[in-house]
Amino acid sequence: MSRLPKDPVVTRLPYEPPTIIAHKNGLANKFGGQSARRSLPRIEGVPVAELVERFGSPLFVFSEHTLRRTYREVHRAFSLRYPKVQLAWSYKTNYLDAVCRVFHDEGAWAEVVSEVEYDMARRNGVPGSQILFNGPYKPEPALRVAIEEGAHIHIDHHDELYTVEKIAKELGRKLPVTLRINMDTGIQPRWDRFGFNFDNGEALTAIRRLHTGGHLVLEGLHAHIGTFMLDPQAYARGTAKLAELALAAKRDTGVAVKTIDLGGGLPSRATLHGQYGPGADSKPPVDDYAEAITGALLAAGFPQDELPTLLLESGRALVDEAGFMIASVVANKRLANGTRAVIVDAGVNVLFTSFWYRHDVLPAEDHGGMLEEAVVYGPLCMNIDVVRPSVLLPPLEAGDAVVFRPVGAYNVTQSMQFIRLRPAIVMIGENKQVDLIRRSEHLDDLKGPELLPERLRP
Amino acid sequence: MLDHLALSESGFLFDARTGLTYTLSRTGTFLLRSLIDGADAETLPERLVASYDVEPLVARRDIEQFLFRLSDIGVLRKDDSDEEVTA
Repeated sequence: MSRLPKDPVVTRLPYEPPTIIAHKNGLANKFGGQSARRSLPRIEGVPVAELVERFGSPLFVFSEHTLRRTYREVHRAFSLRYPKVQLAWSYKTNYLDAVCRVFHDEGAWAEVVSEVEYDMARRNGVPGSQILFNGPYKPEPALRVAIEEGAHIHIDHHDELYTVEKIAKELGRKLPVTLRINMDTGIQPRWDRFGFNFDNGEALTAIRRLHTGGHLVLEGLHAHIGTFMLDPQAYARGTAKLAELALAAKRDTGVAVKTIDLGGGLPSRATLHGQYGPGADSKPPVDDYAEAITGALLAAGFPQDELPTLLLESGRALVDEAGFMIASVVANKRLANGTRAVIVDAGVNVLFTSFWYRHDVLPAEDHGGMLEEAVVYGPLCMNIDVVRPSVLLPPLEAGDAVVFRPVGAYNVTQSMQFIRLRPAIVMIGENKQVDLIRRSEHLDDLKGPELLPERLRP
Repeated sequence: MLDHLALSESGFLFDARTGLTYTLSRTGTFLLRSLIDGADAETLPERLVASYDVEPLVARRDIEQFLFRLSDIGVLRKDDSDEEVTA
């Protein structure tokens, strides 16, 4: 049988949409034009396209490997420098059970700031003795349960001190407590809403009051000096003040403080709006924070046998880089002023931290083409739904996937069903196994708690 | 009619009428070059599909937006052509 000649193959050039960009003369830009092209086709080795196909879009993705690696890095940085270190996972940063259990499996205690979070920690198998109960409001019944189960109570204000004292009196035993302390650490804004002030003497007065009451024993001192702290020296100053207070308490009351808790506030590699360079470049390494804190503790003058245990309540620094949000392009637009706009299917209701951070937005595939500045909108019919006000992106078509990162901190816990329901969440295991850890929501998840008065029923 | 536009092969555009400069993507360069060389705007989708790996519908949509953008920023004006420039 004779073979017919094949049709001549017409090779056409790869397509990109026709675009024109006006040059802006006179603007300072020492880096010149943007030529670097970045994409993220896989997360922990799993193709983004495969994740979207299996679980839909938008989709939160967590990397178990990154959770564990980051935890170990932070723990190692501190434990190499100080003999007694305990990390407590900050539940409010991300209280997905799967995420919490990874950290508990690594050895983290739980730091909770409400009775709801307390119950979550208990359900995750954390004993009361490994829970730090923080926050400005702990209802009395919740305090009673926590005390009964041996949790570490961090007292925030005088009213709480009296309540705990009352409970101790009723129980007929002395209760160990930690006092929350605020102070000037040389940074702005100065956080002074949590706890008792160090600088004006309120903290030492509270310690004396606590001691003379006879029902409570000062177990620890705690400070949460701020959030996304880019200056390790602020921690050195905070630690030195807590240590000074602990030693003063020992002189006054004879009781040696067992724990010094520096709270959280360590930054991730996220980039703040208004920050000049990428966050990954400006964030000091965790070793700098470890050096600042442990250095101040070791230099404070504690007797060797009374060195307090160092507690840390890290959240963002442990989880942010482990979280990704896959979204899909819904449409392209050109605004009236010529600005390119891209609409994606994930909005600020699930990427709440977009208000504070410039998340990386990386196409899952590099389609080639000219990079052009674009505003990235979410799908909500609200003017505030801007997930990235300005980012250089290659041409994208409706249906193309993009990946936001880092989004592991606060987005899941602060997400809400506003206009749209919340998406599914998966975790990629160490062996690249992908598990659904929270299904996407149904209408009943939103409407279930509502009750309709009889008179309004059909 | 478009002799006020100097367009390089690499997509650098100088508009002598305004003194402004621009960068165009490869397909943008291809389309504007066609217009400068006298092509009828109606033929642009066909030309684009013949040279680039794109569906006709997508080509027509993108060209329509591109020509609107050229007019919007003043690179093309209605009096540049006897006919209105639309795809």
